[in-house]
Amino acid sequence: MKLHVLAVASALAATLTFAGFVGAQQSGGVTSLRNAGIDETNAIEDVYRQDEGREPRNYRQQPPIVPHSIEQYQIDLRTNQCLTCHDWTTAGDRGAPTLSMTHYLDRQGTQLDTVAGTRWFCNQCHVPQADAPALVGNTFKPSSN
Amino acid sequence: MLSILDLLGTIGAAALGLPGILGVGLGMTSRNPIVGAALGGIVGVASPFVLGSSHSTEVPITTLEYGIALLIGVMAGLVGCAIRRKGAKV
Amino acid sequence: METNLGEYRETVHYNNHSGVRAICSDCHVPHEWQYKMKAKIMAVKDVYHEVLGTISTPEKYEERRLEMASAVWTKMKASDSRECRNCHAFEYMDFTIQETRAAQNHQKAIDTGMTCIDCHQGIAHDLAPGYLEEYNHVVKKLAAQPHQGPIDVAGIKSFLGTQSE
Repeated sequence: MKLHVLAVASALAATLTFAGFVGAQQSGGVTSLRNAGIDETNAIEDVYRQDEGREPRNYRQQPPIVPHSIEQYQIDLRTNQCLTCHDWTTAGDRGAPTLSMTHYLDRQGTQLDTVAGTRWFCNQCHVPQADAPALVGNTFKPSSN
Repeated sequence: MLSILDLLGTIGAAALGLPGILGVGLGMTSRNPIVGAALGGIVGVASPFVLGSSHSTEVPITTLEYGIALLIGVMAGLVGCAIRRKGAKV
Repeated sequence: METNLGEYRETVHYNNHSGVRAICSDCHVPHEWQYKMKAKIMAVKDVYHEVLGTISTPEKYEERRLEMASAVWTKMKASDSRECRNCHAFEYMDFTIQETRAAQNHQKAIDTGMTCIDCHQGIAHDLAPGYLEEYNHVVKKLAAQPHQGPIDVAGIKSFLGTQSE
């Protein structure tokens, strides 16, 4: 008899806890990552193409933008494929612009033979040029011109 | 190019390819082992040349490849010949 | 063999705008019968190591990545990228619709007798650190062998950018 009471109590406890979870979830108001309801269809983003030619810099310190596709380039901890052509050891023969020599300086300003770790991930600053509108609007104006 | 695996691969490919198969076939056309071996040998030498150069790439066929194909062709020719001789007795 | 499959599935040979797919065997198995048979016999080694679990964990795989890549590069370099050229041939290329950079380099490659893998390493699988040095090593090793054809090693080396010997 005692066992029976215990079983009923534990079943009740489990049910109530579960109900509590459900209630908590419903009251929280879930927002989906895709910013649309489950039954709505998201519009596909436009596909932007590469801009031809080499774009001039818009302001003095702008990192030059990349005039070619970098779609499948591996830039990770192991390998940086951009350096296959743009490293100082290869740039001459491959007819590619060499990295700026500032990219071979480490934090302390020591000249290195290989690209500094702080400059390893090219696409943090350099992006391919495309006919796409700016992702974020801004009112930036260069100091000269 | 001279690893054992490579060598085994070349030998196996020759045995399963034209030198091996056509070699046995042509060997079976003769009771004379010398003729059989010669026919097999001809196939062996011809096949890397005919099949190997059918591609647009400019890779020269190594003497090793020719040698192995020749050897396998001769052996296949002899086997074919032996089949003919054995088979004829039945 | 799951790691390399996963890497390949991220690349253009798996998914692309034209909807043509090149599967594993398109690049790793020759079309010509005798070379195909040879590849299949040599693949026994791969099966053996797969069963043995030589590359069963990501750590083990990373450790051997360069070695495995080097073996495939050697094969491709020795065969003048035969498997690439089953689909991609210089003869079928229209340089006018290629990216300028690509067109220039492809024409340079024809003139200097280079082959696909001389530049296109790691198009279907990730590259290990020091891959360029390893590839130069492969080129040098193959050039040292007597039966190789008229491959312009100096030209390729200078293109790859190893002035130092």
